Amino acid sequence: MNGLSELVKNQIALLAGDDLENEQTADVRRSIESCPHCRQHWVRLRGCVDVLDRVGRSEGPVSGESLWPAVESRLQRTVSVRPGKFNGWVPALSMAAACIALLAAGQLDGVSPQEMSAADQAVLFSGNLTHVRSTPATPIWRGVKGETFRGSVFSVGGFPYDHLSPTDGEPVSKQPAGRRE
Amino acid sequence: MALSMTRKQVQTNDPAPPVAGISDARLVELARRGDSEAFGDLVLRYERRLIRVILRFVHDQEMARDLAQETFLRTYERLDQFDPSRRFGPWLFRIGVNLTLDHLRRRKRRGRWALFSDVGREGAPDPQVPDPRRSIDLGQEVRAVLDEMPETYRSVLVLRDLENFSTSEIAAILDRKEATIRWRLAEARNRFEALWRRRQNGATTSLIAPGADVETPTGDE
Repeated sequence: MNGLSELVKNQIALLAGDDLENEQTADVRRSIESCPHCRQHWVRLRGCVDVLDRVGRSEGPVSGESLWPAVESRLQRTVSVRPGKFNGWVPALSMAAACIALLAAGQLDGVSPQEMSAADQAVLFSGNLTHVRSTPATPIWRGVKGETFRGSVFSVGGFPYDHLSPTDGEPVSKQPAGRRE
Repeated sequence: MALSMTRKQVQTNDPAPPVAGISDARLVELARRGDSEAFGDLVLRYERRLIRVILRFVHDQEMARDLAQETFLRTYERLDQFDPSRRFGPWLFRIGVNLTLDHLRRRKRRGRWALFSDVGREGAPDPQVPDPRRSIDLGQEVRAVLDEMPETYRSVLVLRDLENFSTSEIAAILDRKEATIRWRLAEARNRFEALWRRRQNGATTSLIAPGADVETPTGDE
């Protein structure tokens, strides 16, 4: 509407539904009495609020049966299904834990935890050596240059440990103690 | 002239309580402890009002009942989250209105696809056939105008002017500050008035003339 600010329009709209704060009501009423645009806007808005009010009252009470029997039966079903959902994770988690334990055991095959120092473990898991195959007594490892070693524990920082033996790519028949060549 | 301010009183919990004397808070407490009958009493207490409010948005009795049922189920699941220092009614209606608006948004998205696939099926209106707007009633006219409004304003207008919730209750239902709700309500009424006027001016026959019997405020109430 021309000539009316948004504030005045909104105040009139709230007054039309009796939703204006009490302290503002008197001012807005004065505006409606004195300003033709305000009065026109008021008349239109009161008409709309009356229409909405009439429609709101004209639609009678909701008929039909109560929802409670259906709600109750669905609630009972939900409660009985819930515990099963959670229990499904237990075997899955157990299986995952078992797989991780098997993998760890395979990685450390032939090396007892007591034999392996922290530095040795660092090399083992750094990727410098690759586990080729294992026998119960002498696991065989391959280095970054392709050389192979037999033994339980490996070199650290290029310095071999005496219970490692080079195989030059070939499995050794005996296991001499000594330096890496 | 006296100011015509004859709006009916707010009746938030108008349905007669099936178990008079027991407060909502007490029933919620019992329901939390597993007393399903207590929750059943809450359902009986609010179901008609809830269905009616949902019906304002979806215009389909069966759908409104389904959504109301879903509302009660979700309410039960979330009873632990209910703050007992607040009123149960607005909390329940918040869940119901949110569920309904979500449903309408999904339907609207599906409707866009249907629009592309149904193009040209209805054809142009036949000039020999009378304008169907002549026969639709006031409620349908109002609904048509409300459907043209953005959801933000429509929700507030429906809850306040059709369902007579107070602005503080609407604030609790829509999870907004009351000042925000008042601003939206004013904007919604202004928008409704503009759309209503345009619709009435465009129609060949006017079913209702807004403002015809409206008195001017004089402040002498």
